Amino acid sequence: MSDVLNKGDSISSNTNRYEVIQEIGTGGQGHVYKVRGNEGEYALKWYNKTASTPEQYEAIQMLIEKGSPSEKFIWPLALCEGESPDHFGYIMPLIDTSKYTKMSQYFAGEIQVKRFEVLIDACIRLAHGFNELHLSGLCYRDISFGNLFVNFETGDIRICDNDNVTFDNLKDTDEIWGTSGFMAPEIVRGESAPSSQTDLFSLAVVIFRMLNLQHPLQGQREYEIEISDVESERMLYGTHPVFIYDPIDATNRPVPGYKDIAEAYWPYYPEEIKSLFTEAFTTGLHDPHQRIRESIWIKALSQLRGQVTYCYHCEHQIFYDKTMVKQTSKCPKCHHTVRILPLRMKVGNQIIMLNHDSRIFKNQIDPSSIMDYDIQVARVEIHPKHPSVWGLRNLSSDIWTYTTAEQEIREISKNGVVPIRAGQEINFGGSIAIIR
Amino acid sequence: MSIEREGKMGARDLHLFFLIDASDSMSYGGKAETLNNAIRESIPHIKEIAKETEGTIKIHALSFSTGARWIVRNVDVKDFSWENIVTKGVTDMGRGFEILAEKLDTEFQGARGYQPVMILLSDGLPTDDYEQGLKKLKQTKWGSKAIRISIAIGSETDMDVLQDFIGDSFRGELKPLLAKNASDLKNYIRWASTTVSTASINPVKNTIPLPPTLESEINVEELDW
Repeated sequence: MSDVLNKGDSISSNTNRYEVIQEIGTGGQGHVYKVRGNEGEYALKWYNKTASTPEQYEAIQMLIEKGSPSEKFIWPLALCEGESPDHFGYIMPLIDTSKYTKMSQYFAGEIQVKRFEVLIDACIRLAHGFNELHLSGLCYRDISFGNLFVNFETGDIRICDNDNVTFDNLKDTDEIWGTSGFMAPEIVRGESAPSSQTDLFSLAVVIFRMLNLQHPLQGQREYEIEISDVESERMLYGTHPVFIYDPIDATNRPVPGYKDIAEAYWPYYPEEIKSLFTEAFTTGLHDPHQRIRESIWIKALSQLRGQVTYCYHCEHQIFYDKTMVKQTSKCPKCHHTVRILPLRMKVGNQIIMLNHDSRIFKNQIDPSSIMDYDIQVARVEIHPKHPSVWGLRNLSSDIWTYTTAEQEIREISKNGVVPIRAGQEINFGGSIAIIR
Repeated sequence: MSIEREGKMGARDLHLFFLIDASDSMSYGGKAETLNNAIRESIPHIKEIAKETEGTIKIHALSFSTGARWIVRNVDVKDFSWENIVTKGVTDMGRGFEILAEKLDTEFQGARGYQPVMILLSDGLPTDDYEQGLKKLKQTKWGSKAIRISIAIGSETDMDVLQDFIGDSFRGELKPLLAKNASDLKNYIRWASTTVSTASINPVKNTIPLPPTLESEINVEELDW
């Protein structure tokens, strides 16, 4: 048996036989094949002889015993062996590549995204996925675009290559783990082993890039490197990392006309998310204990999702910021001043835009349920006969109340509609919203 | 409607160079045909890497026999197809290194990229002063920073020459690969053009995983060389 399997080769787990259909991927440790078993098609990772170590075998065994943290993970299901004692592999679910795209392909320009909510939702779910993993005492070690899949229509995600996952207690710094540009500085410098704290750094890089495209540490200093190699990467990401929007150190800004894609996004985000990124890539760059936790990302990103609105001149999606009320903000796409804003509601200190197509989720109106970002509780609707009349339809089973113009208190249960007008207060039960 | 806005990603490219022996001896035992096929088979795999790379992969190829010439000039792998090499004459390997050095000194001035990957494929002994040409190549900025791989086609090849080409590239840890048959050659060309390219794009681990091993008995395509 060799490192390479061929179509028709047979591989067995404890309970099943699998037939190799075709190769679907390759990497440093081995190859990935599509295989067919009794119960359908799966993916098989088959390790090269050099990677087929007893340690790797035990690691996979541990992951199988522990089980997947959630459906977001393409988790090992069974260890597999062939005829040779020198090789093994493991079976995992197949990713539906008609729906899911590897994130690296998005950044290579293979995919166009229509709405910001898709990117924001994908980031929220990634943060949640890694939160689930970390809560079960594990860390991922190699968060990068090559291991993450996104459905760019829905924002759903899948986390693969989980054979990187290990207990969050590594001490050994001999082995450098990770992907260039995603590793925490202390790993690049060889001072720390990967951990959940270093995962948080990689996660911040992924979220920053999803929203700004440019790498948070790749500005002028990266641009000036002619041929990048281990030494230059060590400087850029390990010994002298500088955030492209560091509030004090301006030596690594985007390079106008050459490497400046972030300039089309960053200045137009609300202050709250920008200050979180700044924290992640200034204090969080140097102090592993100061990194942004997943729940903080989820909260901030949910808030950001509520701030998506439209430029009424060119229909491009933009983000609400309080400065827009002063009518001095420009649309990043058509550069017209943003003069028209839809009504919006304030819940606690959160602003939620009431666009013609807004969907409201539980965590936006109930601050105590951060993780309920996927439970839709309301949507904005335009009255079918009176287009100037908009309403908020209750999709939850909670009863809302509001006061009519005639000072009458009304109850709105599931599928009822509250009219949207300035000054209106809505009591959602646990929280009160004011429309303005 | 998309969320796309105007700006430059400023991503860097990977330059992949094939240096190919097209001397007369390559026409025996089907070596040239196997080489043509092996390169052709590696193309879709290089394209797969390019699809996941923010810059792109640019292909360059030169052949040396009596003299040396460019046969592929800076072609994006997305648009790359391989024309069969024409074999005749002697093995002016040094001249091949020289025209590569000239290109790097002129066209690559001020360019940005990953460490270039250079793959030398030969079946014999250089007939010119290869050391002179190699010296020129290694004196260029891009040549000195390159990850240089060499593959011997058949056991008649002078392995010392191929080791000289690799030199201290990748801290001198690399050895020339000896392709004893067609499946070895296919395997090594694919490894050099894909795994090594990936190692250049993501240099963090600072190692290049070795080519996968194939069973010695699957020499079904073995040719007589």
